[in-house]
Amino acid sequence: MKRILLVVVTLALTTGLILGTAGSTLAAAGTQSGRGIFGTVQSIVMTDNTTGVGTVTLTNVKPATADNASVEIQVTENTTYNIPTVTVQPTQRWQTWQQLTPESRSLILGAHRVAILLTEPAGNVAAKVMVIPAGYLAYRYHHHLGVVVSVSDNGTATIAEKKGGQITVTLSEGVQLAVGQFVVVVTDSSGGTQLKAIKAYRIDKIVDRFEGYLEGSLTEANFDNVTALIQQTQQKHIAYLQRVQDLLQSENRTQAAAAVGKAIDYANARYSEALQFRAKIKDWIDKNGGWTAWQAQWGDTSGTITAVNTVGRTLTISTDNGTITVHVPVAARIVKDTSTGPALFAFKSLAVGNQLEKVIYYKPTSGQFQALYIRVAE
Amino acid sequence: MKKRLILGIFVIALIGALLGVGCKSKSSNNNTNNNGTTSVTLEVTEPQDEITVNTSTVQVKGVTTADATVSVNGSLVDVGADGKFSTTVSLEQGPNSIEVVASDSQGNENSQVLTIIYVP
Repeated sequence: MKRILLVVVTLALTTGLILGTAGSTLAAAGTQSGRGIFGTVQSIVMTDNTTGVGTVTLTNVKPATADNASVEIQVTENTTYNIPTVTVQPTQRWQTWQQLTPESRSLILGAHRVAILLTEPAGNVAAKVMVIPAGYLAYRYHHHLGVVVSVSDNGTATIAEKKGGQITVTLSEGVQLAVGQFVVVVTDSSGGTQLKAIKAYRIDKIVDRFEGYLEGSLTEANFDNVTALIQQTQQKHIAYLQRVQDLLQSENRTQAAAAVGKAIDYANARYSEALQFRAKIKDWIDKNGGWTAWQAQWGDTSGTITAVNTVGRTLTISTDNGTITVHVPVAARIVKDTSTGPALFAFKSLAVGNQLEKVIYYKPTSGQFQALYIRVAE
Repeated sequence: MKKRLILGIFVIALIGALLGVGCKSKSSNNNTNNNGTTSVTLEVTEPQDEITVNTSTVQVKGVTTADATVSVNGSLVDVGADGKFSTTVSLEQGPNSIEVVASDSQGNENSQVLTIIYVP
């Protein structure tokens, strides 16, 4: 009798477990529009190579299978593929097997690891397959530190880099370069034979950044660290430029060497300005009662927005200590708490009633308070 | 008995040494580029690589050297005096590639690529 009871209880528990698991799976299926899976490619077999119907077998799957077993994923004529460093806009980022070039197909067939979106949480049909880039295809974006030595009318620029090398890049829309500029050019190596310059960051912007660090230093230690950073970076930049110039001169590339000379002069001038700015701050601190007085220039508050002036870019904030109005420069950092952490927020998105958790602002001896950092509550 | 004790200590020390070598080689990978020369440090602290998320944006956070220039998927990102950076990347449904590149004032470059799947 006891045995029968035990069997019944065991059966009931097992049934409950199965139903519970099935219920959870169905619930998940009801809230999600697919499922993501990562895996190392064991094989890709196209039973119909024209339409792209076949099977992808994966091992080392993430999320892991119960027994680390391999997983078979079906690909259909509707499955789309992307190789981040190859298939890009404006051609088409995601392409069906039929749309892929033979070269792209061979890259997919030779993929080491892939990320797959399945059409259904419980299914095994792939909606999207992305090749996780490896080897020579691993990186799409690169930074090139150098001096612009020529800019042509057909929208290309040549940049002299360290070791005397140079690259010619196609300038993307909005990227403007001039001869003699010392820049970090961000290039996109995908979708063509020539590098595309998609961003150009002038080196004086780095010095601007360092000046911001000086202003934001509220202790002597931080101030000294930033000063050292400026001096060290200046030395590195000038040494880099001189190395490039020496190499160009040794190869009799006089015009390019002259462009680098211009960059050296400009970089030195900009760093001198930063060090003068540093001396000005130090002078102010020494004459106005030290670091305590410097710190007193900075305000820190929280409250509710009661008015937004989009033309003058000002906010009026009701705080526990009364109402203040701050000007919000374009460079001010505005963030908003989200479920995934703080996200950047635009000034135009601020509205009356918004709760501000933290506002850090500069209090000049005359004129408006200047907001540097605003954190909006979720 | 003494021999066994010595053998045990030796085995533990050997395991410790192997683990140490493993950790060391992992951390130095971050600072070495493909040419084997010293490169700029780059550590992407968020998000984890190869995860599935259900939000259409993801915060990319990390730390590099204070003089570095950082781009995330080709867009330049602010770097703080402490070398920390943070930005939000929009995701499209399905697999997404996030490429973080840092370069320093010597022209050294370091990159990390993360792959994330967004399932609404």
